[in-house]
Amino acid sequence: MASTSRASQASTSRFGNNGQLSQSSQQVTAVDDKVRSTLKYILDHSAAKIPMKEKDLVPLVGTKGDLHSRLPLVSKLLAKSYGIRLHQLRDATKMYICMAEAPMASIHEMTPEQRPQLTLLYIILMYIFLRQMRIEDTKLYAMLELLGIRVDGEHAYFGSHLRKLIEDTFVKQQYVKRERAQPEGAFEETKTYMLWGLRAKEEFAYEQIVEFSAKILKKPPSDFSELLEIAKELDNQES
Amino acid sequence: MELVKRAFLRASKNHSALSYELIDQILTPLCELHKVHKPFNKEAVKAFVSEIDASISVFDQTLVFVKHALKNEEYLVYAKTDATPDTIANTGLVAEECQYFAKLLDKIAGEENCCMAWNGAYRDLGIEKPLKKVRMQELIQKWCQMGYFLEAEDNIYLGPRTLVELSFYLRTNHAENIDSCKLCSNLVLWDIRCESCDIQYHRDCIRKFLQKRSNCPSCNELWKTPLRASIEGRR
Repeated sequence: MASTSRASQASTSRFGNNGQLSQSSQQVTAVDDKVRSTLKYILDHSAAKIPMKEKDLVPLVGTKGDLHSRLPLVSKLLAKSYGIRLHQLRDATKMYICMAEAPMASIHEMTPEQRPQLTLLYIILMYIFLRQMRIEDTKLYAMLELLGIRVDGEHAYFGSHLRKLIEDTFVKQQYVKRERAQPEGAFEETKTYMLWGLRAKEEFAYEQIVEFSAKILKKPPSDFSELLEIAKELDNQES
Repeated sequence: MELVKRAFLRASKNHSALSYELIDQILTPLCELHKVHKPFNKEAVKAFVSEIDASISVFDQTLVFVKHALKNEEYLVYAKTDATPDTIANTGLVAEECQYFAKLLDKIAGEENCCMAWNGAYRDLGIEKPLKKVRMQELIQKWCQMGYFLEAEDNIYLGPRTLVELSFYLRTNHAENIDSCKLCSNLVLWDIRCESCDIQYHRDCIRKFLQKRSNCPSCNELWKTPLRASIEGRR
């Protein structure tokens, strides 16, 4: 499932017609077998949401040059037929993700398995944001436990294997990032911090997360006016 | 309307196999959001889907309706037109899991009624590195959700996506059990047979054929197999 693009609110895709293309290779403008192979590979892999590495795309077409000359057309075809934007991750070396051109109109566009996962993700991203974008994993899990969500247990709505979902799936999908911090003292344990991942930064605006937290905490948005200001300020700094 | 088509296509690809009920649940809010008229009946939905299908066929992908005779229900399936059991690997499976899918598919397709008792899926199917039962259960559940298999009455059957995506593979490799309907050329399973020659047809196809003729299209004998009570044209 391609996710919604925060970039859709701002700039166009990395491979849109915005003059940011690599001009090192002659662009291919006709759909050949290599374009088709690349597009089909992307379609197959977009469902898992794990970023695609350029080194995995190159063998489909031959050389890096062959790939770079075709990616603009592939991107255009994906957008035109599927409304999927192919996006290169910021700060990442040669990794691409797929994002939808528009948000979902209803939860029915997701499978029953995906809905609780997205809800859990929202909760986690919200808490990381409220803790100034970095929180120890133990504290995050303690917060979830306060909500009745035990990452090593089974939840009636969110299911089981939640630790694996958070530490493995969400991390691979680049929604969440885990960072180990060196202990400050000789007798301190190594701490692991959870941050927003590159995909989360591309897909979600901080304002969305603040509005979400206002809804689930059943408080009027005005109670979060300070946080909304912080969110807008961070959005401005990002763009 | 193009935004709606693309969003619907993404949702269809995500679900892989959709009932009419789910199609309506997806389309209603989509059309409301984008302020377009929703396709108002099944024929309009089919025309809408047909337009989308035409736009993706160049990428060896298809969005098409298929009737599953076992459930007597029609499903909308998103499938690849060049798939083989091995290319299911593209969904992020490891080699043993791909092998499990292929073995399971062959085992079910090789059975006389193309079905297997549910516990048969956990027996040794000849995989080099057998999977844990928990993982097998997860995979079967996932493949059922995707429409590759269908669970009914403690049995596992081929699902609607398999009937579309692996049609050529099944007809080629399991010709003893699986054939095409002589009237429409699509795969036919668990459906109506001629009493005289035992050739199988889609119920809807033979019903339509018998509106103008009385004999089996294969053996030319008088058609005797009863069709359902709710035959169109008798109303």
